[in-house]
Amino acid sequence: MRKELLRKLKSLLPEGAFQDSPEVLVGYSYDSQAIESLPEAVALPQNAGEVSTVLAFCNENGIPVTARGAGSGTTGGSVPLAGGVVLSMQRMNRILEIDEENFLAVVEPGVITAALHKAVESKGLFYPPDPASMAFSTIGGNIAENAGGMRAVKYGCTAAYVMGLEVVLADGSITRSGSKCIKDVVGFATAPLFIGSEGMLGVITKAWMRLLPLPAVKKTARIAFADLNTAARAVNAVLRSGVIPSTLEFMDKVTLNTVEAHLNMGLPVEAGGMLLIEVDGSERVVAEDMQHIIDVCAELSPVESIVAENAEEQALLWKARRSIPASLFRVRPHRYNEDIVVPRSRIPEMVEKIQEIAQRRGLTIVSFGHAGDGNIHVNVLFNQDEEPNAHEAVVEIFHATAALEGRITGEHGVGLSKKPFFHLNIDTPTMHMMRNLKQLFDPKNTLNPNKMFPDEKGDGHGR
Amino acid sequence: MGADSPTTAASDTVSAARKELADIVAAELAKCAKCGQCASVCPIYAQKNAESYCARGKLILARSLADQTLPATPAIREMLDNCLVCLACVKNCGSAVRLDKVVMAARRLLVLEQGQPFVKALALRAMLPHPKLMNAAMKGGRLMQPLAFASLPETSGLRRRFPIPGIAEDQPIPPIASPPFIERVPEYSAPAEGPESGQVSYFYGCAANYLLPSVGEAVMYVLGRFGKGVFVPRGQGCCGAPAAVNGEKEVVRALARMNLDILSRNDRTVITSCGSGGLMLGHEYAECLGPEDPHHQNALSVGKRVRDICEYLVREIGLDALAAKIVRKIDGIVTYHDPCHLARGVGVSKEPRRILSLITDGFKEMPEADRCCGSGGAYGFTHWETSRAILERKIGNARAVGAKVIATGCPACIMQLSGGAGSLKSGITVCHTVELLAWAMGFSSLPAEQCLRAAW
Repeated sequence: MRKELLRKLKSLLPEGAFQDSPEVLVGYSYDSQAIESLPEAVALPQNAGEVSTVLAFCNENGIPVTARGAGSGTTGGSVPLAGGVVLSMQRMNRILEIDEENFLAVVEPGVITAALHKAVESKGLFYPPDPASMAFSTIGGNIAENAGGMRAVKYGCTAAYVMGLEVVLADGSITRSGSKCIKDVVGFATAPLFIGSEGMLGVITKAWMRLLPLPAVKKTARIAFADLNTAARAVNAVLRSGVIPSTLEFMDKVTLNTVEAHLNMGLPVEAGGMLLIEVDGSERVVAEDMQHIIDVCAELSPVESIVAENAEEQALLWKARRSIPASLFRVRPHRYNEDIVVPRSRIPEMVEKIQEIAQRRGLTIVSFGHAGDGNIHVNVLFNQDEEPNAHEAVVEIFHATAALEGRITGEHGVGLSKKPFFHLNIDTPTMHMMRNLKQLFDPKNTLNPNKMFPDEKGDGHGR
Repeated sequence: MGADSPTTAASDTVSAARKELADIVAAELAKCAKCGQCASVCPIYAQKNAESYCARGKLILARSLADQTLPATPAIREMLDNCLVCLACVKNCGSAVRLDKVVMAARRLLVLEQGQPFVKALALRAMLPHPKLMNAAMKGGRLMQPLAFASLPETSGLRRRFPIPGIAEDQPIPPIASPPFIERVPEYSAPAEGPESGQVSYFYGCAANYLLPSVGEAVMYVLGRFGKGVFVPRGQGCCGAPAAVNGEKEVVRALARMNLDILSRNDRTVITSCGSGGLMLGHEYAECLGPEDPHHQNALSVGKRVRDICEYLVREIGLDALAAKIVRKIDGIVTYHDPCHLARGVGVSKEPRRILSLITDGFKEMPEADRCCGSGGAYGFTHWETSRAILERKIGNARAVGAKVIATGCPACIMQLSGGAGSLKSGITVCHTVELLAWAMGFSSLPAEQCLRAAW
């Protein structure tokens, strides 16, 4: 019955835009999370009209539709839990325009984020958001998850760069939010509704993204302190002194030890916390800012303070950060990778709490991430037989996060894996408001159903 | 193309191969975070832009094949055939997921279950393991070649004269050399200069033997000038790389035993001039034979003695000694293409660049220098459309830095690149690094001269 219906959808789309052979479907049954679920068909549209055709048809016939960018999400957000159609946006991957006068780029949702970086940087422009997945994740997915990245401390997350969106709604209508204009107060600001909406309110088919002038140079330093508290004080001191670094990353003691054991690259393992600080701008500003940062940190007696003198040294400093995932794999084959966020000043308290949980449960848990914005990547490492224990550790960590005025996710979104913990951050009236919003946009609940809100099918935290 | 007889595909062999695939998939899937990083470096994914073609997609497909949740359809086989085994995903993976092992095990299962296409079966099973037969076939091919192929004016390649199945109209075909390298050199060559300071064995490989003997001659010349006595052991055969990537594990084992027999008669360093040969001899033989095989120890000990020619020259002879013998330098911009199996398989990438910096004034790194050229063994033949698109990107990168010459370290890459450089009328010529070095040391080899003349 469903199969016949879907055949009808096939007839409405151009050759190749509809696929339902099992070997193709299996490729759209997963993202970077454990839960897998097969779709019944994959649609690969090439323009908003085709997206509209798919959504209108599915809405009319009550068929679930799950939009998918690169499938790089870590919470199961693009997994078609209810079957139906996966709407893969990967063929809508053109950069339509780079407006050098008005500092904006018009892109289709399937553009790979790093490809946008490369294209605008060749024109001396800059698209700051840099999620770790940027080499393979898409702009559409970045918007739908409001992706962050290391540069968020200075430049903000993806939301800060969305000027306008073309969005196809559940009923197939093609809408337009925002514009090319920096100031625009015509009607409700609807574009922000779709940012971080996880494919539940509409499907983005075009985006007008704000750009900045490309900073001329960068300079990187590695500064380590005896304990994480002092590192946190250093972060505050640097920001209070008026310098906002473009990245301000930290690694806790366990992370440092793990990476050093893997690479043996001379990391300061005696330190309790290490900062990787990068500043960008003109040559003069960067030199001054970096000196300033070194001076400010010097007052807190760092155990190590190294400034990279050239690109090679810079790459070496970053290698420690980039090598974390591979290093963790050597400790335990499995890990839960969470992305909690707390008010910046509470990072030491949070990491201390995490270590308390780790010790009590006999687990290795590493914490690293974005010291500048309070976003902590907590990785709980485990062997297969330790999975229940690791899961319980994550539950405890989420509760501790909420108790410290933090949020259970700062970058990855809710999707499937954080549904059971949604209530830790979202109270009942607020949840009600969100459900009403969903009902308004998608009364038949065909857009990415079973996600985000608790008590629906498919709760479950997974890798 | 028909399938060969299923006699080799006894069901116990099929189930053993399925078990092996299932074990490999389970081990690799346990490591895989399914993050999608692999898609960002896969040359084929960049062309196909569809999930089933990136490493993550192929791993899941291989799992479906192993646990039989999906039937082994032609479409699945096509997806799994679409891998260059370039190792880009493996080296860029945070957990080092070995997709190469997965793909080769999956292909092996499919070959056992469904047979090998006739032409591949003939080449891989009947010819590859028998050097004498291969030699005769190549000589026959050399005689027949002018009938089927016309010379391409813009390259040293050939183009088909009439439709031939499996060869596209615009596909350049390398001419077969006459006589092959092995018939041009004695089994032992004394050093051309100085007292003998050591002896090495040279494993020349099929491509240098039949298609680019000038590479072998350059290796002989350079080693001889540094006091090395060079043995070219008789009876050596194909390294087995084409068989390995096509799922013919038994052929690889037979070739491994044959070559190991010859190379383990002494403990000389074994010089290679192709990435795939170095990878097979250096690493894959031991892995493929397994610890139970009586040749396993030989594989390990020969493996330790294998050196790429550039690696050997830089590490054993030294840059100063090399510099002392340079009599002329190459004009114009030279860039370097990393052969997949040399850079990611064997781990040699700095040494050729050091040599090139020595013999040129204009060495310039091109973008994506370590990205596959699209050759991938027979991939260029079986999937010319995709291969050509990958090749065009590569030539575009070389053009972007204004290169006149592309140096590289694998004859298969040389053939693919010079075909592409010619058909795109790029004016770029392609040579093995050691050919350029030999020329800079005063060796006059016709191909190197032609290469450089075209560049000026």
